[in-house]
Amino acid sequence: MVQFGANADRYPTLAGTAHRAVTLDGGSQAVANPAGGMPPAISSVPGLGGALSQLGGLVGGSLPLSQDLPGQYAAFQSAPLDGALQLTGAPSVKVTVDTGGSAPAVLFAKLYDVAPDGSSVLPHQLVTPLRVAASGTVDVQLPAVDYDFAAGHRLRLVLAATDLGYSSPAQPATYRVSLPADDPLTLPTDLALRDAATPLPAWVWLLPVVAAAIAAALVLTGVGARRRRRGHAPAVDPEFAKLPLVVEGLSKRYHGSTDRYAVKDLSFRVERGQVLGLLGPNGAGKTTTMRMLMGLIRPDAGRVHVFGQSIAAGAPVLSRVGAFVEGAGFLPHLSGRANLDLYWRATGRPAEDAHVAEALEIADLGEALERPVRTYSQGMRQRLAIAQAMLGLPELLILDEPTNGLDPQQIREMRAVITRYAAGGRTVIVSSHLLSEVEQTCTHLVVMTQGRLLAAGPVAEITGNDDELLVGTGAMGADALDAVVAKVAALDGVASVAPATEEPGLLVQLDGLAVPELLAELLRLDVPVERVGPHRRLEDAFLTLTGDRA
Amino acid sequence: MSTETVPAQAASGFRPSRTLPLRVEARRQLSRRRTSIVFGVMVALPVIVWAALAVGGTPSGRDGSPSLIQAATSSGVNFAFAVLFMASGFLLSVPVALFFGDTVASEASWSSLRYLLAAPVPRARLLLSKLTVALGFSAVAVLVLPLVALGVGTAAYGWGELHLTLAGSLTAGTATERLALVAVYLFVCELSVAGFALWMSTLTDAPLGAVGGAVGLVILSGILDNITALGSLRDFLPTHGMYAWVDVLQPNPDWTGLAEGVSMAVALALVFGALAFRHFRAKDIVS
Repeated sequence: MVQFGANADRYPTLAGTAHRAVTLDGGSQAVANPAGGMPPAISSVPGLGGALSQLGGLVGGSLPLSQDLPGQYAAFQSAPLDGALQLTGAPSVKVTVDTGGSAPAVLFAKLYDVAPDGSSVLPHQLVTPLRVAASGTVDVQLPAVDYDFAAGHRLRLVLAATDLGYSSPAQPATYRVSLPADDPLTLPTDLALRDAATPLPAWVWLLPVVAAAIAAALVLTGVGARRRRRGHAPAVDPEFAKLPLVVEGLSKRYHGSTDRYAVKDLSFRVERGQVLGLLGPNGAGKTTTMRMLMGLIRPDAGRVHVFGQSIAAGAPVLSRVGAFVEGAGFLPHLSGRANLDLYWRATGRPAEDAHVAEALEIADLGEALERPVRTYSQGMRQRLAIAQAMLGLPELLILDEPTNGLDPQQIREMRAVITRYAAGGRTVIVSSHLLSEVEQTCTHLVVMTQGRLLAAGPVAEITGNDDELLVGTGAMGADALDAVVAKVAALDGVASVAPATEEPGLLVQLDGLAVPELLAELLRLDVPVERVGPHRRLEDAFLTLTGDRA
Repeated sequence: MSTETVPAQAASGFRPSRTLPLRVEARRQLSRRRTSIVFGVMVALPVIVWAALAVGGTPSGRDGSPSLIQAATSSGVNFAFAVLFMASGFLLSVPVALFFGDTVASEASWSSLRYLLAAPVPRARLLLSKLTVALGFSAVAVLVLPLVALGVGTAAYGWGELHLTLAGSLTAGTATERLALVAVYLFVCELSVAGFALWMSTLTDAPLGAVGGAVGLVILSGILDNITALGSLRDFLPTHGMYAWVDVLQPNPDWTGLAEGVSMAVALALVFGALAFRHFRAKDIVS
């Protein structure tokens, strides 16, 4: 699995460059050599030794590959090691052997690594055979190995009478084996080897530094960063400070549409206390405009000022704007009340500024307020979203199609709410493609089609005078019509008269003359009157303004 | 932050640095079912593995299963490491991809993103709040797994030392320290997935797309990592380091693999995170 790149400048020899002494415990023990040396202890199988040790390493050191037979060995064990011990070389130990008269005694010495759970490993399956000619103390050099004893493990010296790999005396015999007092096991080590750790590749240190540099470059060079650096200076325009909204030369072309502008060169302004209707057919660019007012999308050209502050993404002045644009946006798993609560907390403003009670009155959700929003109908979501826009009673309220999905009763209430809201000196912008909607609630109008401004001004100015009449006539020649216009204009109590543009007929503005009297005069002049009615003000204006462009 | 002046012309009490506080974002995310499901899976997985081992018995070495899994029933720490080993490659990436990939994209899909931004929460602030909360949730998910596994393992197999089939054993104390270290390492490794998922989350309005993209990256990286012919190029795959922690499960731990994994993960997280900020700051919000 892991190859240690252990290395040293010079050969440490089998005796090592340093030593650790480990005391072994165990009294004098009898070791029996069975007749014929059978059965033998197993430390390795001749011819298979290498393969077995490989297998032992792979399958697990605790596999009982090495086996000593009871009564045929003496064992001496150390206390658990305090720290890890890297053995490099041949350990040595003094052993006192009493051959019991049957010289020579043959013994096999081996050093086990004993784990705290009792399982033992014979490093590399190596064993040292000894032949002791006469009773006495002998120096034993154990097999040379490079082996790592873990902390907490014990060392166990075993002297066995038999071993599968060797033949031993056929005569049965019993030896006594003991260790001389105060004579520890000496283990050679090589400190130089232990320090040879694999160096880290250079990229390990380099990579995060390079990545940090790339990250910094990415953050500092983006479009947003450029805009931020550039945008600080002209952020405030004191000229507009009193105006809730000023839009100047606003243009936006969405990514991917190269020729068609969503909004093109749009300019208008809104005064305090106005209810401005943003009117236009679907696709006129109303919602795109509102998104730009809220800093959600970036105009390609032009500026938006709210209370004199230039609008960019996250401009602080947006905290004075409440918005409902293109449908509700709530966390579906939370209740309506929790949604409003968390939304207000997300603004970071004091809870007492929220005016939740007013907002909830507008939402009018009753007990549904405690249900998850995902169970709401579209109208309920809509009302909750408008309530969210009104949280904190913002000075400028932007509502995009606020009456979509409401029933007639709620539409009427919503109109009243909007009118009341603006009466307090606050400003409301309402977008709609419904004429009746804006006509009944708005004081001012901005009419758009295909991203362009068509008209802007007070509702009355755009829709024409209230007492203007449209007199529908049958087809008339231009000369005849001019003659009629001249005659009608000469009548007392008629302020003005002009040929109607959208259909054959006359537009007459009265100044004192009653409608029946006008009708009598028209009939007297042989004008083929088909119908007389009020000029269908806004609808006509709207169709006139938007129709020829469509 | 406390010395920040009130922005001129803002509503009273409005301070950009106070918008979308962490605990508000945490509450918004915590109440979602997906969050509790992720935490539930992380808690349930060790129990499922324990049940599987109880039913099927300890895996034998015959089928080539890794030695860590063979030793799973030896002790509590053994079990915890075995569970971590099973979860390392793919499973731990899923909650991270979910928390980061979903965080902005789900707001976009609910349309609530535009109301937060118009509140106004500054865009960098919004991303930072969301990133921090996702980071916290991911940390809990990644760290709760080994913790529960240790508890389940100790209850089932007892408190004991870590048995390593190759290199003896480690004492229970050392092994627990290593377990904590490995858990933290795995969390750091997942930062590359987190960064990528966050970037994806700013790119798309479909939460599934962002999460799927990040999970797809993990799968692709895992496949490439198996092509040994790529050699050392594999060191630079985001998931390459996810098993490197096995090297520290020995008496003399080797930290090289861990250092490489941390380096790679931090580097990728920085670059992907910067891409996310760069893109989100200038993005047109049309959701």
